[in-house]
Formats: sequence, C-alpha cells, structure tokens
Amino acid sequence: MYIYVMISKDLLKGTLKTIVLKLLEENERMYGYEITREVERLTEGKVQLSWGALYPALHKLESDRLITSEEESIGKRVRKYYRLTESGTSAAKEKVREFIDFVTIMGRVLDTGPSLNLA
Amino acid sequence: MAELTDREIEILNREIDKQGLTYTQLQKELLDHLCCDIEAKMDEGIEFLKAYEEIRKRLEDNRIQEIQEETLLLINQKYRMMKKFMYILGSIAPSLLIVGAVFKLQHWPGANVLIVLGSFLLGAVYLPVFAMVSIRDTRKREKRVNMPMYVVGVITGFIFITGVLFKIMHWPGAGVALTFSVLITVAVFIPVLVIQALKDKENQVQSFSILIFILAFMAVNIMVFALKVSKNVLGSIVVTTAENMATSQIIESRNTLLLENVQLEQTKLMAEETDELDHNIQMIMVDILMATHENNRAAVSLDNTIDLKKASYFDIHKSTELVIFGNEISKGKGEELQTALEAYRELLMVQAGSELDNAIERMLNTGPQDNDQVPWLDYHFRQTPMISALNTLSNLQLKIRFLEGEVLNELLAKHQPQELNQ
Repeated sequence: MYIYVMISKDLLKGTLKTIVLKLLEENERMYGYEITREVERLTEGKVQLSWGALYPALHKLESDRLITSEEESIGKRVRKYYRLTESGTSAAKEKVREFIDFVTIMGRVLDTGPSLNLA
Repeated sequence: MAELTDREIEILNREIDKQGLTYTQLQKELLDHLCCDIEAKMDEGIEFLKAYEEIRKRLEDNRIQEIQEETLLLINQKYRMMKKFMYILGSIAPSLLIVGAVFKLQHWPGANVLIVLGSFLLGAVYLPVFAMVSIRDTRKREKRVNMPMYVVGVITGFIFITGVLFKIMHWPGAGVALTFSVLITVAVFIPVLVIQALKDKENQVQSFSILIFILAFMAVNIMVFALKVSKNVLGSIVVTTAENMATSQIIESRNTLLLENVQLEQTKLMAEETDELDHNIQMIMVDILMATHENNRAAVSLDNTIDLKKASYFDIHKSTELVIFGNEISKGKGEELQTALEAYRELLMVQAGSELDNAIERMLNTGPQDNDQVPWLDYHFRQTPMISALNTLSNLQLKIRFLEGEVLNELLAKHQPQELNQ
C-alpha cells in the first residue's frame, strides 16, 4: 500500500528518509508532490511514493529537526516547502554513506553466498 | 500547464474535509498534492471531473485518516503529551496518597479527601493513561498489541484500587470489590500474562517479573487479610478482657453483701435490673464466642462464664457483626442492648443522688462516639474482631457493677445512718 510496484515496499521503507534527505540536499527546497515526481523521474517510474508513505516521513523528519518547512500561498491553496537544516545536511550525508555501505556489503554477500543461486 | 480554478480547489478541499482530518498542517499539504496530481492529469488532456473521479478512488484506497494517524504517531505529538501527563500524574497520585495517609494517622482533617482524590487519580486516570502510552509504545516498535492484557489489567487494577479505597474509608462493598479483583487476577489476568510471556520472547523477562510481582503482592494481600490483628495486640486485649471479667465478679460479690444490708424496695428492683442486664451482656458474649467457632464451646461453662484461656479465633470479625447487627434471617442483639443500657442508665439516675449523675452519664454513654459522630453500636462493633467486642462488653459489665455498687453505697449512707452510728 505504501509504495506500489516493482521494488518491494519492505526494501524501500527503511530508505525513504534517505531518499528524501538526499533529494533535499540536491534541490535546496521541495514540496511533497515535487518529491514524488522527482523520485518517479529518477527511477523511471519504478518507484512511486504514495502520500501515505511520504507525508508521515516528512513530518517525522521535521519533528526530528532534520528539515524545516515554509508555507507559500498559491491562489487558494497553500504549498509547503521543505529544506534541510544544518543537522539535516550532515544526516543526509551520513545516511547516504550508510546506505552505500549497506548496498556494497549486501552485494558482496549475495554475490558470493553459495546457498543463494542468483545466477 | 493547467491550473485549477478556485471552485475546483474548493471541491477538492471539501472532499478531504469529509475524511475528517484534524491535523490541519497535513490537510493543507494533501490538498496541494491532490491539486498537483489533477493538474498533471489535465495536462495529459484528461478533464477535471474525470481526473477527480480517479483521485477520489485513490482517496478511498489510501484512507487519509490512516495517514494522519501514522503521521501523528511518528511525530509523537499526542503521545508525548500523554507521556508527560502520565509522568505528572504518576508523581501526584502517590504523593496525595502518602500525605493522606499521614493526615489519617494524625487525625488531621482532610485526610479522606486526599485519599479519595489520590485513589481516583491512580485508578481512574493514571492506569488507563499508562495503558494507552504502553500500547502506543508497543505499536511504535511494530509489535502486536496484546489488547486483552491491557483491558483486563486496567479493569482489575481499577476494581482493586476501588476496593482498597472503600476498605480504608469503611464504605460498604469493599470486601466484594477486593474479592472480585483477586478472582479476576487469578482467573483471567494471570493466564493472559502467562500467554503473553510465552508468546513475546523478547520481553519475556519483563513479563515474567510483572507476573512474579503480582503473585507476591497477592500473597502479601492475603496475609494482611489473614492476620488482621497482630498477635501482640490480641494478647494484650485478652488480658484486659479477662481482668474486666474478674473485677466484675469481685464487685458483684461485694454488691451482694451491700444488698443484704440495704433491704429496700428500690434496691431490690435495681439489683434485679442489674442482674438481668449483666446476664444479657454475658449471653451476647457467649453468642459471639460461639458464632466465631464451635470449638469455643469449650471456653463456656454451664453457668455461662467464659474462660478466655480456652477460647481461640480472637481475630475473626464476622461473628461480632452477625450477633450485634444480625443478618437477613436473624435480628441482631445490638439495638436491644443499647435500649436496655439506656433504660438502666435512667433507672440509676433516678435512684442516685446528683453527685453520681456525671459518672453514670459518662460511663454508660451510648450516644455518637468520636469526632466523626459514629453511632455507638457501629463504633464498638462494626468490623471489630471478636476479642475487641468481648473487651467492650466485659468492660460494660464492669461499669454496670461498679455503678450499682456506688448507688448502693449512697443509698446505704442515706437510709441507715442511725443504724450505722449505733
């Protein structure tokens, strides 16, 4: 329900925060819809964030003071932009590094693991 | 790029409103997200209404309420507040109880208010809040919540605290509540806890400790109920009661001698009345003794005198209340006793000179007792162990005999001065 499609949601769930932080690191400020579109674009539609996953994560990051938000009125509606805080910036770097480490290690494990017939 | 009109935005806004969001921060964001979604679809050439229909389906699938719940859970707002509330209450409730207990010990006013308030906070507020926080904690750790455990726990705890409160305040129903809470604990709560401990391997130590504490607590509870009165206190009351009885007898024989000297109509009447009252009190004592346990028959001799050395089960409450206040089947003897005492008091007052009025009034006072104005019968015989009742009753006999002697002496001095002088 959270994240449709090809890549299982269990795999993605733990990395959602990393994705958001990384995107904000690159784009300075973004709003929710923009983040889902950007993820879709970068993964060529393979990962579609549902709002049920995205917004709780955004609010959690905000309450942890890793990101801040600002509101902007657009006609009758309000758009909420998020940007990284200082600790958010370092957290983004940390999380990305951690994830790359994880992928590298998992790659090694799964490639050489004799019990797994991946080929 | 397509842009929604204000009217269209309003329609969407109402749609989200219908989902019953309370967290406005989220509501605004979701509206913007929805608008963007529809605008993107309109850019692909889909009409607003069609795009809106599609989105509506997604609203139903995604259940906005759940998103809000999860968001709030994640950012902890409600939960944090509850936790804070729990900590504050957790320190206030026991403080109130402790201060209340000290007040009660010192007989200061306000003790009862403090105790009732403390118990209420503990049972009706702290306990449920603790359960809620605990449930949230479990959910946050993405574990299954054992609802029966919490529900039964809160109910049992509430009934138990109510029972203790009622017991302290001497309100009726305490025994029922306490028994009931012990029953639920044994029959439901402990099994649920054991199952929980078996299932939840991670917190096994924790669940096990809770279980042990509950069992130990129950054991202490039962012990308190079983002991009721400590042996030392019992022993000292037994001694005074026996002394009351012995002294009564001495005064009685002295009075008999006096009566032989004072051969008056009025003294005969008084002697009869005194003997009858004395006998009635004696029979009440025998009844209480026998109602306590049939083994106590050994302590009662043929002429109804009581040998406390042969009696036992001094600490049982029920027999006193049964004999004095009765039950559905038989009437209690308490009221009769009180009436008889009052009549006897009047009789003495008539016979005696005014110098003795004070002593009679004070020694045979059957009015409300204590600062709390507890009725005389309740004061002496409610929730009273057998030995305390015997003590009170034997003391009454002693006082009656003593007053009888005083009045006789007075009459003797008044009516036979010449004889005595000769």
